[in-house]
Amino acid sequence: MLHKKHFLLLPAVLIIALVVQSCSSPQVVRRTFAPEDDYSKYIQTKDLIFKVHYKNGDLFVYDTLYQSNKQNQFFYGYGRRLDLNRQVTESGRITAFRDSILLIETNQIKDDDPQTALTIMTGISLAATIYCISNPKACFGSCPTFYYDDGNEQHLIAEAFSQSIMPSLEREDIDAFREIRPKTRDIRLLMKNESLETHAVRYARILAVPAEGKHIYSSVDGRFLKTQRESLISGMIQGEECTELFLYHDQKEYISKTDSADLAAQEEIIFTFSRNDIKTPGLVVTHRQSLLTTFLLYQTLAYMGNETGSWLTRLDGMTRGSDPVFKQLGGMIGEMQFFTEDENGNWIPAGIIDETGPIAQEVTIIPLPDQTAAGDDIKIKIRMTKGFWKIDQLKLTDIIGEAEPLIIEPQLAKDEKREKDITEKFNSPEEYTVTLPGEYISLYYRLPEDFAGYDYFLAAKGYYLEWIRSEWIAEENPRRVLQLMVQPGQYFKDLAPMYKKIEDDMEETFRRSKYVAQ
Amino acid sequence: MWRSKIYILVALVIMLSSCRTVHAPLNKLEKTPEAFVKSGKGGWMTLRLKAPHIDAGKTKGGEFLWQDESSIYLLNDTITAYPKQVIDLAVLELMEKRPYAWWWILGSVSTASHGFVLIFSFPLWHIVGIPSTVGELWHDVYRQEKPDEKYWQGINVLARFPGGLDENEKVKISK
Repeated sequence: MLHKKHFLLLPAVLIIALVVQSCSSPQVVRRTFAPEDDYSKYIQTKDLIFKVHYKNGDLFVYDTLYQSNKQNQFFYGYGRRLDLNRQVTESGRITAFRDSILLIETNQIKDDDPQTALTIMTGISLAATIYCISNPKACFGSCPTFYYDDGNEQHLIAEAFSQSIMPSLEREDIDAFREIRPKTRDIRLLMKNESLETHAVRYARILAVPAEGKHIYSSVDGRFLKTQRESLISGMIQGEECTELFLYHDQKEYISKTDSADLAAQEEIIFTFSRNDIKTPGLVVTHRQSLLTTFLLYQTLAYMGNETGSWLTRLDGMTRGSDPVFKQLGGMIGEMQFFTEDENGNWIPAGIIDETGPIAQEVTIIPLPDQTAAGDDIKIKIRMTKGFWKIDQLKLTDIIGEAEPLIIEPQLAKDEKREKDITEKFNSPEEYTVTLPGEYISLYYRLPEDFAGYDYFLAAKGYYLEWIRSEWIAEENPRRVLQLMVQPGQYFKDLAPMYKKIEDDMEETFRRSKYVAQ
Repeated sequence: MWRSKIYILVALVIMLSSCRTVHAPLNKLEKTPEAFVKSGKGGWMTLRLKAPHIDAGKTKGGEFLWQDESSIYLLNDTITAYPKQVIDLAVLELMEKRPYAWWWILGSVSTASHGFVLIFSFPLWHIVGIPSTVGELWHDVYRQEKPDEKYWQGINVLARFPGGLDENEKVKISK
């Protein structure tokens, strides 16, 4: 059955068509003159086709030149003479005498041919097709996205559970609202499926953490840490000062280029923070991933080809068991590892960030271990895969305690496509809300009465299934999939040249590639 | 939603793509504006007649030869005069329509290979394709329900003989 919005579509298209129809301008603009009229201004005008109608029905068509002699007794030019049945009787230089003329006619053919627009559009379309055929993994987006709707604008909050590419990898993902401050107690979030994916969402809750004038950050182990005071940073990358790049949350992100021979090649950056009386230091990292993750996922799915379902089922089973395949892969390439320097100048592990997702930035706090050197400076080293992570801001802050969040379920969940209230199902922990490409759910939450005194986070849990594009099937190669499992190091080396070719263009293509409902 | 949109789109395109002309039979119109102008012929006129004409309710067509105060003269197999007061609808066409609807639909379908870039390319094809197709279909088509003298005078220049023809010349006209 057609949705009522669909019924509006046909009239809309027809209205556009009628408007265009009413605006259609003629391509043939014709004027006629009696022989005694003043038509001299049209003579020898190149863009006009002149025709002379004789009283006996004959017609002179001048398609090159039309002139009159000095006495205006006759007209001549090059063209054809037609009889009244419009058979050609004469061609070449033809002469029409004034006393036989009934009418003189001018015809202007307007060159407003839509062929030009269609040709340009065809060129654009072909270019897009060629690009997407040669780089299919660059033309597709990823993950469920959440937006805060302030009534005027929609602000991206999070891309949820991006790493949950199959049921066994389902997990909760917590994202801060960051600089987004709700303006009213009742707010609306939009949960969108902007990808060629099936999203299965178990829940999406707001966590309201009482801030009490402090900053609240979530840690990788799911705690909410209250902080105060911040410290300045100084840092060097390959011997060059890079402090300013990391100072502010300004969307100016650090990202290196991948290694042309090995996608798993690592890099290290060392930063120095002044302690600034910080007693329990925590490193706040604003970050997201590059599109290398997306590339690797899509390329692997392409290698799985027609057998993707079977491969994923096997992997799903392995993940549910104890096989560490994903952990091993994550450790090789997908982790941002943090170290601090102890009293003896040794680097000791401080924490790991492995949050997946190239769209929305995440803010995560890494509490530094107690063994961190107690001097005026705190040294931190980040080790990560080259070209894998984007870092916007780094700051050191003082952790003064933990905070407990209030869990807020949506009061109303509305399937906007079907205009259906799905609140009960959405809030049921036993059920999934499933969305397909282009669909979106409105989630209405009621915040605490003193809503301005809280920091907000979104906690979403679920998984998603990537759709296999027909373009990918051609690359099916089970040996490559096996290589990923048993020789992942070589797999990442073999794919390096392929990614290097598209690395520069992929970001821009991806940014413009989100899928929305029509 | 997608399915219903596709149905509507396909229906619209089929409707438009079948329209090489609005009313004229195939091969009765020139293919380009320039060919029409240089042919020296009139446009193709389609008339729907009303009572008291014997063919009331029927549609008749022919090349627009000329008109006088009371009648329109069309050439089909023979020259036929139709009194203006029995004409319920008149449509004058000058040239065949180019199959832009197919260009539009093939272009739109090709966006399936664009991945998510189709969010731009698919509507863009519609933005370009709909005006092109509909514009192509309706330019140089002069249609009037219950045509009045203003309409007849407006299209007179598009007759084969816009200044009329002497009585003794009319008999020389053949198909």
